[in-house]
Amino acid sequence: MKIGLIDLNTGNMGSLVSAMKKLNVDVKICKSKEDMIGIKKLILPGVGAFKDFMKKIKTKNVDKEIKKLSMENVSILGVCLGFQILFDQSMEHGFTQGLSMVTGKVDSLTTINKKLKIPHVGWNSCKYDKKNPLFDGISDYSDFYFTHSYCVKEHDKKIRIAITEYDGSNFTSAIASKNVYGVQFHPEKSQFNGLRLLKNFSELSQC
Amino acid sequence: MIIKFCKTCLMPNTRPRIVFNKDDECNACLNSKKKKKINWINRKKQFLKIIEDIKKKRRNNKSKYDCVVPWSGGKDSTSIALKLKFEYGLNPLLVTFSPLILNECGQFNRQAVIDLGFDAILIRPNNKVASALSKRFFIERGNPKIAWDAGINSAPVNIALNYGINTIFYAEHGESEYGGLVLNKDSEKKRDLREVIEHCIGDYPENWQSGSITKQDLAPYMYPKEKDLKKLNIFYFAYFFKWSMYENYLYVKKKMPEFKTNPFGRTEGTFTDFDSLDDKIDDLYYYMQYIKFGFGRCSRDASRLINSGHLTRKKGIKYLKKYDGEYPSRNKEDVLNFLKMSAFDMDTIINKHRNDEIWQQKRNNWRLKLKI
Amino acid sequence: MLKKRVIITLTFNNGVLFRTKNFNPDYRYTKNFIDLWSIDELMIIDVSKRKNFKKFQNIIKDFSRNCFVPITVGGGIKDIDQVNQCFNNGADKILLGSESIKNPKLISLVSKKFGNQSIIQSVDFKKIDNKSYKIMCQSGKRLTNIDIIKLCNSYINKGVGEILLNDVSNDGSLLGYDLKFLKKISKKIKCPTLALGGAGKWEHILEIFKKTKIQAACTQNIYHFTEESILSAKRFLKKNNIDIRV
Repeated sequence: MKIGLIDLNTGNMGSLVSAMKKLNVDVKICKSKEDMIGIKKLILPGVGAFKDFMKKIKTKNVDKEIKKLSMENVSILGVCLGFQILFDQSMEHGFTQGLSMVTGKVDSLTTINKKLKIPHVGWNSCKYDKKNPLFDGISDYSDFYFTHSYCVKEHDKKIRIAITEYDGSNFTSAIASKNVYGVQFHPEKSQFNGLRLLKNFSELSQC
Repeated sequence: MIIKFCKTCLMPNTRPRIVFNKDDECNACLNSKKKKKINWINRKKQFLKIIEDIKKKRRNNKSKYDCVVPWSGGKDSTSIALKLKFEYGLNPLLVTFSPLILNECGQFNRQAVIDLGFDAILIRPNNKVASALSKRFFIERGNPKIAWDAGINSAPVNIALNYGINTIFYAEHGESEYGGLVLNKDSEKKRDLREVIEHCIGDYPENWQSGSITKQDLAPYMYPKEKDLKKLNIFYFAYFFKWSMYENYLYVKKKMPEFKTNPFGRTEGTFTDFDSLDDKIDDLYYYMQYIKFGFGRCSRDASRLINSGHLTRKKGIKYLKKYDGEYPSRNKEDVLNFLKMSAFDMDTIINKHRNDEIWQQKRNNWRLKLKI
Repeated sequence: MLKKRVIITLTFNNGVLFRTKNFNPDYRYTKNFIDLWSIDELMIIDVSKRKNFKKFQNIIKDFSRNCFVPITVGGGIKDIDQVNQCFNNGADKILLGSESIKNPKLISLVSKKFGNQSIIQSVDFKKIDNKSYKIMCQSGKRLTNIDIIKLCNSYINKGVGEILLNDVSNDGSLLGYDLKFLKKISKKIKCPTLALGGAGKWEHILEIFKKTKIQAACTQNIYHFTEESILSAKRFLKKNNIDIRV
């Protein structure tokens, strides 16, 4: 069973592909909605600006396809910006609408604490809020690689599965809402922990 | 990179820190030519002044020794020890940082020199640590003597500081004699710590702490603090007298007819029988230079003799084609025991260090792309 | 708690791994077993006088195949097209250099397309004497009179994510970072900062974390780049109470 990897030419797909290769997981690069036919699991990576990314997704009608697959119980994992666009909206570069697959919004880390140095970049730990198979075999407070200036907020606390503390302030670093998962960090750049998380995602049983 | 050879000696430009001028002559050869123009009478005068000063300060010295001579028992350091004591009337303390794998030839020669009437200290660090470090750097850097290098640099200096001896006479300044980078003009005369760290070892022994090796274990390899070195005068003997390893050998042989050369007649990997004979691991050490840079022990010996005028380049090339890169089999068992390694593992590590710029693999065979 | 980072920097001269001294290629390193598991990040810089972009891209591809930590790539990057290629070949971040002084629009272009977290801007400085430091450009060849804080702030405004303070004088010295200067500057820069130039002993890295606000210590010393060395360094830092990923 192949896992789809959305590729909209917005950055480094190579790392994710290498990671999946190392895990012996079959991936299918999806550049359009046609590519996404028959996909049972989907990874949505993203780097860059929210606005730009949403524009690209909409131009290729990939947004509608992602939502459709989600309704069909396809497991979805959003990574970094791919995680952020799952939400309703972002305040980056003004107001931009997201995919609204999960309730909540995206705003600068400085709105949590104006003293925070941005971007938040480096290795930081994830503290579990709830147990979730996505983090199977990964100890609590494990380190992952983060690089972002924006974070998700004002969402249902029930979907939060991990919290990360940055300079005294907490933000949500991972969510799970039915079949929709999202992580703020980069599992493909997080060595053993990240590879394990990707493996877990690929082995999740369908809902 | 275009690989080329020095037009005078046999060194390729793959040698770390070698510099070729626009006429394709290496800095070692240029330095050798410069040696012909040096006013050696003047240099000897400088040396005599240093000796005079040492003798003058004897009464105020904490130690009865006038100087430290880092001494392996080989022809170079022995020639210095003999000259300092018997020609210039100094009382040197010979300091040896033990070879990794002692051999009979080295031990015999050292005893023969000591029997002439010298005080000598042998520093033999914890062999478990020495073996572990040698193995580690053989694997990581293709050089089993990294830690030993650190040791021969620090041991004489540490002894000098401990015994209150202010002068050390090293042999030659490797960077200028054999092709390398000289950090400053003075470093041809006085040993520059920066060069030692940057070029020889490239790293600090303190960094080698690991699960099984503690900071205390590394003490014999650690260089003293720079501020402590200010009291020391560390000279290169080769600055004051025209240096030639072959002439050193002839000198020692004359003074000590019993001085042993390689009992097998010819050292593996080269045509000589008188150089670097005290450590069984040396065959592997020089072989690794061949693997990493494409020049072996033979190239090295031939280049030095070409520079000192004792060998023609043509003959040198003949020797190179015959002996360079000869596989080190003579002492292999002892080396494998010391490194606690299997023959298969050793060959695997050797192959891992082959520089792909100069080696080509055809099935199970390796071919050196460099051709002089 | 955000951890401090130890970043290995590899400098390539015409496709060969080289050691640098005061920004000049010093001598080539032998082929070491570059170990990629315990490092926090990797930085690959092309220090060749005449850049062969294609050759350098092949190096990036080689490393990214087996590297599951972020890779930063740089060395004479001039335009958005080159940036694109680097990302396509496996880079996660771009290191911009003197080009940003000449062409400040490049930062905004890259930041807009890839986000500010994709850019590390190198600020090369040289100690003139105990009181003055100058910003260098053109691979440490030309002195300028630009004020360092003003420059860093303008970079941040244009969209730079992190700033690398690169010490030309200390490069390759193994004598330690310039703590006094880095302490003073890192306090005033509003984005995360990295330091490169002078790392020799693990103590040097410890000092940088204890005495300055620098978040990542970079070392170009190839001998630090083995599993044993990295673990040794990290254990040493952890023993001395530095929050670091082990």
